[in-house]
Amino acid sequence: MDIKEKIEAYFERTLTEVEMRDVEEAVSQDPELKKEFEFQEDINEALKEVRVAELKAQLESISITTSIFDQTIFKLITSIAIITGVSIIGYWALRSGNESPVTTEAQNEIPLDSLDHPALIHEPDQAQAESSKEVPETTKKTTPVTTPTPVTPHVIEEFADEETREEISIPENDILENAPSASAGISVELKIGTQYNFHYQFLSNRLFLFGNFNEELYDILEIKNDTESQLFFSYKEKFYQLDREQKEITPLQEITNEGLIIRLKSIKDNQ
Amino acid sequence: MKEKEIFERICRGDEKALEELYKKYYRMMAKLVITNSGSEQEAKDIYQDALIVFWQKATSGNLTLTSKISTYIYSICLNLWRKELDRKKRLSNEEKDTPEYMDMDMDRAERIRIIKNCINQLGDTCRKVLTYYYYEKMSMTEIASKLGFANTDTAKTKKYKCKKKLDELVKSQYSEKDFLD
Repeated sequence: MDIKEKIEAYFERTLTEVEMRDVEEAVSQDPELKKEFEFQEDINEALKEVRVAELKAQLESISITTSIFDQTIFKLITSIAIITGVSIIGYWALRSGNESPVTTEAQNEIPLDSLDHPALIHEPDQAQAESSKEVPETTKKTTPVTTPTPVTPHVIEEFADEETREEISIPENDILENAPSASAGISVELKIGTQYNFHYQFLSNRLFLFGNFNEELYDILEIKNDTESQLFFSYKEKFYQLDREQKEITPLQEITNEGLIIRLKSIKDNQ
Repeated sequence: MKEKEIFERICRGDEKALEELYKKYYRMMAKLVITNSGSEQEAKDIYQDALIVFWQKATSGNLTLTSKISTYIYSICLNLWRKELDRKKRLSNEEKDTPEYMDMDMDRAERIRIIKNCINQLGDTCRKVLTYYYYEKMSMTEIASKLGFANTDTAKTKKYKCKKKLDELVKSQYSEKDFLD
């Protein structure tokens, strides 16, 4: 396999760690190889962008019934509509039970004294409120269609639904504790577009990262022992040591200690 | 559908499972952004980006899930939204790029734009084979199964030919644009 094939293999993840380091070494010393390396790197980046755009378009085309705000409003309107509808049906049922006799055998069996109920004849508005008590009395023997069912309005709280309340329990505190910058108790600020690339510094317990770190997720990891803690920066599957006392802008140094890398990977995977 | 089943389907590159997941957690993830000074459009973008990060990690076999899917995606959303807020803050501080940086960046952006055009000229099958292999990091067996190839060797041959075709196409476009000396 010649070196150009090795560069391709480098991006195809088919090389060993040692072979990868050999490629990096060769690339750093030969401008032609560097050009080929950057060419393959660009192809990878373009393939990634094409695929991400494709997936985003696919997700974008999925219709989420309504927005969060709209859904809340929709639920409120639906509740109001149900209450109003039930009330109207109840009222209509009571009125029709007395004023528009339905010609069924059952209705013919209604005792005459039930028609004299004062609330139903003279106070139709109250009938609405008392429908649950009065309807069975008047319509029990007429027709089942006119029996209004008492409905308790369902009060919708903002964003409250079974999915977010019950099915999915989000340990928000855990997430905040495990989130990269929070895990180490420091805040992070990215500095993109400066003359520094892949550098960092600490000022007032704030980590400043210099370079284009917004292409992928980064993590700040912390290893603690009894007396001290050590911070590490993780980006694109690689790890770098951080020194809290580093006030000067300094390049990020990649960690090569295999044991430490395995330990950091394990911490990262468990975050 | 159970969590485990969704995760297994996503690991196999099942895009329907991704769509189901998108609908399932949309409101919960959007709420995170909306209740933290974001608009609904921003919430949607962040959630889509987070889901794609999750998808890439799962399909490439680099993800061992130790928490619920929702918890994992939620933490990605949180991270992405924090970065976006940092970016906005920087913009509001009017930090400006140096001209050298801008030139370098635009040069690369132009190269990538050309490559993307070439990828789109390759045709559906080649585009899928290459993106599945290089972005999703799927194995040849998975690609063969997903694209209905006869066997793994067919997928390997296809990938080799498509990559060669893409390299040639890009290099021919580059020489027209004088990127390569």
